[in-house]
Amino acid sequence: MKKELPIILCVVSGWIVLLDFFIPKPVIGTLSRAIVDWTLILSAASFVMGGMSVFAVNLARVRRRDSGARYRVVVLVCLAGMAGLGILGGIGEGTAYNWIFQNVQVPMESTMFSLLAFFIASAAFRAFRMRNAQATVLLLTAAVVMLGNVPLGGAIWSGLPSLSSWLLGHPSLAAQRGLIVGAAVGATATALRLIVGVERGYLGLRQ
Amino acid sequence: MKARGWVFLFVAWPAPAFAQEAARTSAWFRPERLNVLIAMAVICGVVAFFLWRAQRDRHLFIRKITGLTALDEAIGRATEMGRPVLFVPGVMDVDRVETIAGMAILGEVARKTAQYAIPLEVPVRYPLAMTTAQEVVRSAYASAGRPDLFSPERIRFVTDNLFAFAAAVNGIMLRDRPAANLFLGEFYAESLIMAETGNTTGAIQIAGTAQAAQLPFFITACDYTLIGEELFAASAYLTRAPVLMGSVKGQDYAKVAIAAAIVAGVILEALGITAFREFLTVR
Repeated sequence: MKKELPIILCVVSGWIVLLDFFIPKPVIGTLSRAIVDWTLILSAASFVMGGMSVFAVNLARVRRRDSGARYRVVVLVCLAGMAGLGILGGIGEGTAYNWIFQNVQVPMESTMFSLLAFFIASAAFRAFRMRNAQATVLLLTAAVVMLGNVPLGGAIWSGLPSLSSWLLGHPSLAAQRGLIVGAAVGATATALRLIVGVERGYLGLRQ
Repeated sequence: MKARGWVFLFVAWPAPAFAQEAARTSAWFRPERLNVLIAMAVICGVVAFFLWRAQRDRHLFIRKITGLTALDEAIGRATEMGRPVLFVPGVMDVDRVETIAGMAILGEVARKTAQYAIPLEVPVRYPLAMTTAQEVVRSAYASAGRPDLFSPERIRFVTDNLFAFAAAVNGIMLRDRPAANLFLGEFYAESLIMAETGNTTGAIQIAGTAQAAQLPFFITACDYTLIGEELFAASAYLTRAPVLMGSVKGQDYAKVAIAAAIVAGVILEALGITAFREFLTVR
């Protein structure tokens, strides 16, 4: 039953939510909304479990003095400190919790995001090397698109911006849409396998 | 009689909004979604037919997917080097179909790492994804006959903050130096941050996502990339289960049907007939 129950729940929930899309009956709508609400409730409640997991995993590794134990001490202190500040002082405007969030967490997130620029540069350097004919086409296309998007491109040749727009709006978009159609069909087939109960890999069961 | 019915359908489409609203409470069907139902019926019908056919003909052919074949190479390399395998099943929760596809691949990867006794690290961004991944890996280790090697600590929730998660995954790659990094699921802006860091560590990298915007990043930074639908075909390809192979075959024929609809749409639009486009517009 431990194996069958999740499959039964998945199949029944999947069919109810799907039927609600097509059938405007209140009973199906109510059931569908209840399932979606329960998903949200479970998801929110699971963060308590997640927090406990972070605490337990890091504490165990600190006790064992695993590699990187000092970083785990920082995680534990921050976790306990922020939880304490939030519970005791609240999380609204003007609280210590909010101040730390705005002045530590947000800048660190921005720093991580800004690293993307450097990663793009290094990845582009590798991608645009002229190793073969296809890579050369890629390099030339990228050069046209990049130059077409800056004023210098228009100054070199007035047709570059429109050539760049054409490349993005036609060949590139056509390829992207092909990928999206293929992925959508794949997702539909996977969803069908789930709601008829033949896809069981996500439960750790072999087919 | 049937033909007259179809003509009526095209002429009457779309029905006025007030008529649809009035009919909604008493009707058994939302008429404005008939086009979605037909499209779904065609796709699901084809897939269901091949699911049924796969039970009779167990030798359906599916082309070689290099990225999935390379999983053995990646795990073999990790075994030779005595280093862990890192598996990231996307950055979304288990309510996303790409995460489900990633979990199915995780089961097969975990079975192999259990056989060769290599550590498998699985950081996840949501607690529900963590419990799902733990169950998948636990079952895989049990089926491989090595339940003693299973360590729930290695399948861990890190944080739900996207860039903090990316930083944590980068930290694992730089500190533990996994021999193989597998990114299979739904990824967004953090894809290149993780894949490029993995590239600098010299690990063999296999990625797969259906997010078209992230695919160029993965293709550039990883050794093998599963493109779009290949991710969804992975569980069938790896398990070779006939019923799943049938659904992949069905996917291919569904794409043929969509391509035919696109060609028909282009021809009809060129002739100035807009009924087909209007019929296909989702409301």
